[in-house]
Parts: sequence; structure tokens; C-alpha cells
Amino acid sequence: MKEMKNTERFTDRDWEELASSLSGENSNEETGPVRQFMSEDGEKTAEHWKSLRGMNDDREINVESAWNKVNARLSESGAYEGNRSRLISMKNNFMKIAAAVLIFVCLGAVTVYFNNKGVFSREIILATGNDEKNIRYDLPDGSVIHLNRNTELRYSADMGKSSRNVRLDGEAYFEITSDPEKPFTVDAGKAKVRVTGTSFNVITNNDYESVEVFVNTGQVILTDNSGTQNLVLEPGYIGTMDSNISGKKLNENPNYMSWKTGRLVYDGQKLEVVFKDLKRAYNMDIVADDPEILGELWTTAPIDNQSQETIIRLICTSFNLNYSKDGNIYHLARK
Amino acid sequence: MISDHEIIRRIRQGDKGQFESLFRSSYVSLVRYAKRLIKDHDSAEEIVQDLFFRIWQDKEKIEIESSLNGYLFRAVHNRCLHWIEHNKVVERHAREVFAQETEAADNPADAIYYKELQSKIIQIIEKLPDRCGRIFCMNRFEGLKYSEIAEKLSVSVKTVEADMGRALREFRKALKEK
Repeated sequence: MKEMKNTERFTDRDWEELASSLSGENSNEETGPVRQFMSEDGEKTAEHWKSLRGMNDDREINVESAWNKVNARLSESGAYEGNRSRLISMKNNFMKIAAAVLIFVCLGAVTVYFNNKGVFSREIILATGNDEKNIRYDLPDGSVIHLNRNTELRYSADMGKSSRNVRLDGEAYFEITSDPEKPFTVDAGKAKVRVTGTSFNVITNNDYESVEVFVNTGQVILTDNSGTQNLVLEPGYIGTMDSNISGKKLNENPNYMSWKTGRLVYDGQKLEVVFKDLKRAYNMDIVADDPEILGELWTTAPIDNQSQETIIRLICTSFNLNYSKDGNIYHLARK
Repeated sequence: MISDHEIIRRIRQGDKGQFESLFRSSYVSLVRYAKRLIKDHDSAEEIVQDLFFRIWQDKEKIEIESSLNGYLFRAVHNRCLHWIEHNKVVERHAREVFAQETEAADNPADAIYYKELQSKIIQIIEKLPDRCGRIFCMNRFEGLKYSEIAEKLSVSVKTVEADMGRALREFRKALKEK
């Protein structure tokens, strides 16, 4: 009780003065409360308070070099790349199993228009329809583009000579050859994407009507049309931007690039999620007549570039369902 | 000043920039604190660097009950105790080798008292709320002036004064408790 009194004898203001004095902020004046405190300081509070400081000043601590060490260790251990490495391995897998598909799409499926507006401004337009996806196209500067379905890409015929600009409407994956002299720019409508050499995915109009960019390798700069908002994105990140807001987050969806890889992996996700991904990756419309079906969890093998027919059969066998097809829509019902 | 909760949320989500700024703002204080305990500059730096390495690796699993500042200091404190345990054998060996050169051993009573004081300091740090704890550590361990702290944390000097007063009151209270 006596001790309580002791502590409470000082007001908040007194404590502030005491702290300032003991910390050497205002060393020249010793006020009443300070003198009183010192005279009653059986616990050597002042001495201990000062000792927290004292002994440590012998060697400089270099925060910069310390951070570099931690940063290097994290980079080496791969701790910065959790999601990215998964995506890369999916990509490699895809390369092996679907080389044939790639060759096919290289050769003919892209519709190419030449729009003659004069010698100097000839514009080339690449466009994919509803049934064409993962269409590969080589640009004059050596960069490679994969177009998702219903996507249009335009660029000037002399692209690569003085500058590298393209215009995108839809979704595409870019693998840009490095050229620090000529940054590569994607005009995505509401925002622009600028890189020097890197691979990334662009959606010009996502579910929230924003431009969305996912970075696989290298660094990407996302800028709005007025040039006031800038977003620097590093591998593994998804950035979104429209005229009002921008933001970035680490990609946690292993199936983000499935439209291109054709591969979907799940670890107990709801069928509702699986069906959304199937729409995006395979353009499959699946309707469950019993809404409870949507809550079933998918833990079975990955879906890997199978036909729609095979996929729907796989689902039916796994969950004991029947399917019927109405136009392009698959209906699922309990057996 | 952004809240502890928000900092932790961002780091959990993989915000590298937030992680870096936490490192930069707390590194010096933590190393100085570690050095109080283990008296070895290089090991003190290694302990703090390793802590941050683990934090990023296990960021999804981090559960913080006290303040973020309290969490960091407690983690460094525990790692230092572990280091002391681990290095006892080495130390004993060194003492035998250099027996002739060693000066009179520390008074055992002093040693016990010093240990108690250390555990009190960490308790105080854990007890102080977010901002107050950070300000206390920046001033006492990093040696920053009130005005420097105010600028770094974008708060007023008045706030720093008030928080330091509060920290001293807790400090005194803890020393009085047996």
C-alpha cells in the first residue's frame, strides 16, 4: 500500500518531466518532482533507466548491410517465391504434354488482320474467338504472347523499331524479350503496363472491371491513364488498377494461369470453385440442379488438359452424379 | 502511424515492403537489447537477423498476443537465453584456458540481481502498449532523441513525452515489485 502511494504521488505531467530529465532531454533544470523522486529512489530506478542506454555505444550497427544479409538469405532459400515456383513447375509440365497443341496454334488459329491506314501506320490486329484459347503469337521483337479466348491485340507494323507498344482487350500472357532501351508497354484500356523484360499475365477487364496483372518473372510497372497512380509489381504478385483505385496482393491461387496451362489442382476446394475455374480454363458451363452438389469438396486428381467430356465424366464418377447436356451447358443431378 | 494489427496482417499476406520497414525500424533496438544479454556484438546481430528470417518463413503461423514490439523483444530475449545455454560449454572451456588472465569473478549476488533486472525489463516491454513500447525502446536502446522519434513515427514530441512518462512509471513500478 505504501508503495502504491509512492507511485501515485506523481502526476502524469511529473512522470513526463522525470522521464525527460532521466533521458537527458532537458538536463539543465531539476524540478521539484525530480528532486523528490531522486531522494526516494531506493530501487535505483534512475540508474537502471540510464544503464539501458549506456553500455551499447561501442560499435556501430549497420542496418543496411544487416538487411542485405537477411534479404539474400531469404532469396536463396526461395522464401519469397512460394506461389511463383508452383506456377513455373506447372508451366514446365504444360510444355511437355502440350507441345503439339502449341505447334498447332502457332500455325493457324490466330486471325490476323492487316488494317491499311497508310504506309506509316499499318496496324496489325490479332483476335481470338470463343473457342480459341492459349493461342501463341510471336511479335516482331521476339516477344511471345499467348492469347486467351475472346481477346484482341493490336500493334503497329513497325513495332520494335523505335518503340514497343501493344493494345490489349481481353486476357493474354506475355513473355517479353529484354530491351532496356525500349520498354515494352501494354495499353490495357484503363491502365498501362510497362516492363523491360519479363513475363506476366494481363486481364483488361476482370470481375471488378479493373485491369489486373499477374507477374511471373521480372518487374512490372502498372500506371493509370492520368499517370498519377503507379504500382510496382514483383514476381508472384497480382496488381489491380482502374481510374480510382489500385492495389496488390500475393497470388495464392495455384490455378491462376490455368487458362494457359490447362492444369487445375485442388486440395479440398468446393465444386463451386472448381466450376468457376473450369469456365475460365475450359469454357465449360456447368449447372448443378441440386445446389448441395456445389458444396462437395474436390480432392481427386488434377485436371490436366483433358477434353470436356472426360472432365464431366470424372466429376460424375467422383461424386456419384449423372449429367445431361443442353446446348453448351452441362447439367448435373444426383443419381 | 499504422497499427500493429495492420502490420502483422500485411506481413502475413506476403507484403515484403512492410516486412522490410519493420526490420529497419526495429533492428538497432533489438541488437542493442540482445547485446545487453549476451555481450557479443556479432552474435547479437546474428540472433536478430535469424529471427527476422524465421518470421518471414513462418509468417502464416505467427500468433501475437502482446504488442508487436513486445513479441520481437520477447523472441530476441528467448533466443539470447538459448544462446547463453548453448555457449556455456564453450565459455567454461575458454575460462579454463585463460584462467590466469581472468580477473576476479563477478559477485554472485550481483549476477542474480542482474538476471532479475533483465527479466523485469522484458516484462515491462511486453506490458507497454504498441506505440509506447516502441518509443521506449527507440529512446532507451537506440538512443534516439524525442524529436528524432517523433519524426520517425510521425507523431508529435508531446506524444513522445507522454509515452516516455508512462514507460518510466511502469519501469519504476516493475522495479518495486518483488
